[in-house]
Amino acid sequence: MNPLHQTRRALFKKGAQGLGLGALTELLAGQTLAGLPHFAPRAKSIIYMHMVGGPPQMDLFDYKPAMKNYYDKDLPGSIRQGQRLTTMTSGQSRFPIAPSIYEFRQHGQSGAWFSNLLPQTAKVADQLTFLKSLHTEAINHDPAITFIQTGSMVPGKACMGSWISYGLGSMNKDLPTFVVLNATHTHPKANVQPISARLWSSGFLSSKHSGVSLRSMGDPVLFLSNPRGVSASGRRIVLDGLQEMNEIEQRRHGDPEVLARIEQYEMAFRMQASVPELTDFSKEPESIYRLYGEDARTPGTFARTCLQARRLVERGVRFVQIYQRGWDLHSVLPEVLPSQCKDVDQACFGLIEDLRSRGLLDQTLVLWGGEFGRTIYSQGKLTPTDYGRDHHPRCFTMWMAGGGLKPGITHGETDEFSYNVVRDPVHVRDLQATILRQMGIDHERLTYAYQGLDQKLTGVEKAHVVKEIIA
Amino acid sequence: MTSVLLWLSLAALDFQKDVKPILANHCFHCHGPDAQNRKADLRLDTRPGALAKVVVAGDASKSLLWQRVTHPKPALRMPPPYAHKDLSPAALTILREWIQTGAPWKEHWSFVAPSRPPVPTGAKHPIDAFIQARLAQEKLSPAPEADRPRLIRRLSLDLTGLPPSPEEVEAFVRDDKPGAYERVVDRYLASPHWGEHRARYWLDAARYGDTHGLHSDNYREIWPWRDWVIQAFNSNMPFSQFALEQLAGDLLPNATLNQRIATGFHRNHIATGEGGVIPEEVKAIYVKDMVDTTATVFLGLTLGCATCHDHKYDPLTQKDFYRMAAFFNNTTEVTVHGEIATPEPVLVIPRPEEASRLAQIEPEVMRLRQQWQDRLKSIKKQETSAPASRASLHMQAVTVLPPGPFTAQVQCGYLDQHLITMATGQTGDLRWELAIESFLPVFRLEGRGIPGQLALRGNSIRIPPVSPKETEITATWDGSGRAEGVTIYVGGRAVALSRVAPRPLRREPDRSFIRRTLLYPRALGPLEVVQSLISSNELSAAVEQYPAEFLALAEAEREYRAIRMRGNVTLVMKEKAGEAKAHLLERGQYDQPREELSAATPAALPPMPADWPRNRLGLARWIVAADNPLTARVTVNRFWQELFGTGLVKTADDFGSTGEPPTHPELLDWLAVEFRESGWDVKKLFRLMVTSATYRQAALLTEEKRRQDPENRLLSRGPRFRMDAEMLRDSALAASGLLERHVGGESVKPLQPENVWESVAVLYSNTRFYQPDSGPALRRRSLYTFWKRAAPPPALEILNAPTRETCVVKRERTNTPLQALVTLNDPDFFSAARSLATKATELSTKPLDYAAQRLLARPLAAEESAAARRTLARLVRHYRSHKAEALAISGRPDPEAAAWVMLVSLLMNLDEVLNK
Repeated sequence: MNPLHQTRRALFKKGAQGLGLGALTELLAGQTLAGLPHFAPRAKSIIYMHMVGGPPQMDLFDYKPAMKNYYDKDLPGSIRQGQRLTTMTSGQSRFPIAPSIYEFRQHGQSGAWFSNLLPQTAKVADQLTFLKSLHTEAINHDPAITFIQTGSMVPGKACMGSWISYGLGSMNKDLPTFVVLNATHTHPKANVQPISARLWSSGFLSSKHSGVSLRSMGDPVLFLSNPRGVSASGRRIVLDGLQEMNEIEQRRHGDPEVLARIEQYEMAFRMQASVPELTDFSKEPESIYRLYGEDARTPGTFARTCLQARRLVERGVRFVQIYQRGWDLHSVLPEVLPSQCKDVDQACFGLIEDLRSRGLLDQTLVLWGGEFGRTIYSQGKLTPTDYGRDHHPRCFTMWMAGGGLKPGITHGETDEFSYNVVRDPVHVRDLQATILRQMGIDHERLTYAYQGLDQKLTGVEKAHVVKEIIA
Repeated sequence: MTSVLLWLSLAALDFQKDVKPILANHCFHCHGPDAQNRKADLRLDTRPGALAKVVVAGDASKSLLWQRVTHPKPALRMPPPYAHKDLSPAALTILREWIQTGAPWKEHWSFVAPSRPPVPTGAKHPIDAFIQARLAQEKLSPAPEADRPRLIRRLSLDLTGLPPSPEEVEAFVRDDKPGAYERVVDRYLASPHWGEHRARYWLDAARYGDTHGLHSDNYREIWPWRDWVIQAFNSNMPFSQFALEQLAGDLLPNATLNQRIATGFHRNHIATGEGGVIPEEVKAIYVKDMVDTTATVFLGLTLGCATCHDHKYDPLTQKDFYRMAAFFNNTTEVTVHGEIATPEPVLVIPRPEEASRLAQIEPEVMRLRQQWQDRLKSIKKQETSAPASRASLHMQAVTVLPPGPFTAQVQCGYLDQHLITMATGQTGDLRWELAIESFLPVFRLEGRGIPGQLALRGNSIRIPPVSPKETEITATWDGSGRAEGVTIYVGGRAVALSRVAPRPLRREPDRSFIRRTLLYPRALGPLEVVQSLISSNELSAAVEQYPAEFLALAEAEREYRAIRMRGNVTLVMKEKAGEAKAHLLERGQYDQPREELSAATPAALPPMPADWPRNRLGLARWIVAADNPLTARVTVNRFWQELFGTGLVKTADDFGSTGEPPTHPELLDWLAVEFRESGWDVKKLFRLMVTSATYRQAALLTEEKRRQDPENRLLSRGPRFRMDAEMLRDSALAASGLLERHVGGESVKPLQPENVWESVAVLYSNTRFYQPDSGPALRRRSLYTFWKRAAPPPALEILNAPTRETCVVKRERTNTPLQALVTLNDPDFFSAARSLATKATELSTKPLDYAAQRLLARPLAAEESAAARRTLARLVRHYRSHKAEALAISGRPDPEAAAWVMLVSLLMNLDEVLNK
């Protein structure tokens, strides 16, 4: 019998009486919080593809044909309503409207609108749920990404993945509960925004709920590889010896924390086997690359991260966060946007199809979108073939799929300028509440007492679950 | 329920401990200090408030409070169901009992100034007297004193952050004269590493980092402040002075250089240079950060909760918050920092040997500048009728220059890109480029004549960023093939330069913002550069009429700049003229300013004397004033936490209503008064704590203590917990003899895994590529490790180091598999194992003892020794049949050598080694 299992069992048998509180909490870290889930969960896992920079909704999904007649005309004051602007365009003397130069067509039974930049994603139109009326409070990247991830524009709060890990715990003790993947982009002129460890930080929650970045270069998990020359069998001898000596120490002073440490060393050893398996794509059949595209053969690409995400949720990882950068299209939009779309189009299709065919789509909530939208008016010079768009917090589009949502529907509507929401506005915290809801969590009740406040992902303001999109 | 009733019959209710937390947690949200959101005009955070409406003292059944919390109809029961704050049966019992016994009330403990309580009889040492009195109540007895090796290891780690040397252990073990322990204590308190170790905790509280933290997360130069902290602890600066100088050193009369460096404390907040941000919004965030940090670090208050509304639990109003904000609102700090390392205000710290020359030349430069200004004015008065002729310079616009020195001059228009190449060309077989990167001029030379590349950039630490409007950039090169042969002028003024990591030239010049490019086939002098740019008649005429004065100024400026450039720079605070004020911001929104408020301290705390200045200096004096009930308590609690793992108040960051009350309130107060009355003597306080029997107890757990004191909150045994990240790495380096021990200096870059920085950075960030240092810099103490906030040193972060984006006064201590991977696999740890194994086997006939002495400060016990030898034998057997592995591990084809490395790595991962 594995002596470790004995240790572990003995540990649980002793229960609270036999253990220091610290040790007990550590071992239970992977468990679901008491009282959770609050409702029957509709999804077990989340794959959240964040397009950092803010994709232009009116060039992709939010079709505004009337704009053709507004080319180079000023955005009416009645539409802008004195809304604040970034200091990048607040100095512009005029706000000339730049109609999208892309062709739009309806797809699937649902008749969802797509521009011709996303032909592959359009094929799964009937699997997708569109939110066209999202709006946020931040107007610049750093606070906006922090806001959508943590419910606060000011750094220091816990991010969504950490909340899920804290609330629901792990489904695979050999892998982290919350994994972060950073995808590359292709176009050299893409304006790239930074991301930061704070976006997968657990904030005030225990740091065991922080996202673990699965890297495409070097060790997939930091310090996973043994030093040169150290084989698994060599390491095993060391760990057995370590356990033996730690047990002597534990007998001397009686501190049960030692046993918890032994357990962590064993899990580290198991991870050294499970993570390489996780990142070994050699057994994926050729058909997979037809689905996700040839890019998926290259580590670090968006397509590869999508395939990796599927492998992660398949193994019980709760929350997979993908970041793809390069969507900050202030200038030369017609040059960069097609490339950004090409980076993601086939892989989005592949991921949805792959999850569906494996029966995973029902239990996986997939999200695609940025931290805000972009302006209908051009930033900088406007020509019939060239324009740029500034940040726009008042409306943006996101699509979701799976996870117990109604497929093939569109929720919310913007005005003909894609500037203001005119029907069914969805605030970022409503989105957060809805995501939690699908995971079986009441956003009002998943709280953590910190600095005198019952902290919540959705913050102190009221948030509303978007019931209309739930199946 | 039974247990509560039983307990109630044993002890009287304590309002603070038993009742207040229930009211705070279940009622204050709607019936508390927050006037604006108070429901039913009922407040339960004051006794009059409660008695006026809902509490009939002595009669629960007549009290509306009791009726409502027990109401049979859920819809009428308090707290309402949507609050998710149901009262437990135990809480209800306490509330009832409280009302029945007359609803006694006591002010929140931490708002009442501590007075020195009598020391309980019994133990000689006051700390022991308090601790043992409580243990006796619980019928627990303290643990015996730790054996000397374990004791000196704990002490050395606590006072210096480093393990004791075998010689120190030996001397202590053999010293049987009285006072042996106290002598060791004094030696460690006098060590220069004492200050490093104490500073390390303070860096978390002060959120120190080497980058700005937001957007580009570019380099920030403020490490001289870090060195100031180390020196302050080493010189045992009184804590009151320590606080005063950091909060307001610049406002002290005749502030010294060091007192101004100290004010970097509040320049440590994260800051942005992101294009498009709204300065007013950013400024509000900075000020909030300063208020939050001040309140947390010194007062243990969550004042930040009052940003948007009155505090829900503590008597802190929204006005209090913005009155505090006013103190920090009145500085000259640059808001959007332009991505440079030293946004104003900054302080130049010259090299010690140049300080006197700088002091000499500074007034001279000022005099020459003034003289020149006067010349300009006088020329203006002369109203020269004819424009002076421009100096004629040999000018030749070519893109390919002959080999040798040259000058390139570019006039550019509006720059809104972060990176633009302004001119490229060729001279001989060298290619060159003049560019702007993140608003900073860069000049590069590349070619076969020069080994590698010569890359220069306007030193981001010392020059103001290029204005995004009209600018002229001139680069001259003397043809010497050295970086020093390049001078860059911005608008005619030479700027300081430094080498940066070479980057390849860009292939396609982008000239879209360039107005004019001029090339001269020789290096222009400073006068010529100005002349070539002169567009104003007065200036031109002045230069023509007073060439000697102009050159004298240029020369003096040059030396002045050169000395400053060789010195270090650090960010400091500087007060603006006028009264410190701030607007109350509706719901904390920067664009919804309401009434203007003058600077003042929170009304619920003792007032600031009327004649103290209403600025940061007044605030700082108020913080360390004798009648401030919080500062001394909060500070001793944090120091206690450093030694014992948990503070007497567990919530070191919250001494308010929702914080945890102290386990030993009398001891906390006694220590606070003692500390304050000793003149805030930090070393004396630590000496007091570590000489207590409480501290010296062995970390031995009994069944009984495990049950009654599982977290060691009663101090029924010695402290034993996993060391912080920096201590672990420093200990490994020290034990293996690799540690580079000199104190202070620029931050260093030890090894770290590849792609940690790149994966989060923007293209134009100057902390995008991690270039590890080499040599001793790789082995310095971890508090000198370069701290990029968007991607902190990964091994330290995995071991619970905070990101340093916000103030942290209490680190978490988790136990995860990723941490095991660090101490097993991180090259720093593994090379330490290799080094220690080599030394042990080569220098000692008892290698196992040699290693154990350095890691555990003691030889192994027989049982441990036997276990270690069994493992060693298994390893030797393994490496005899795996020679290639052995070679890779130890660098020698020797199975024994490899086995020793692995065994030492094992020892370095022993729970006892990871714990202090």
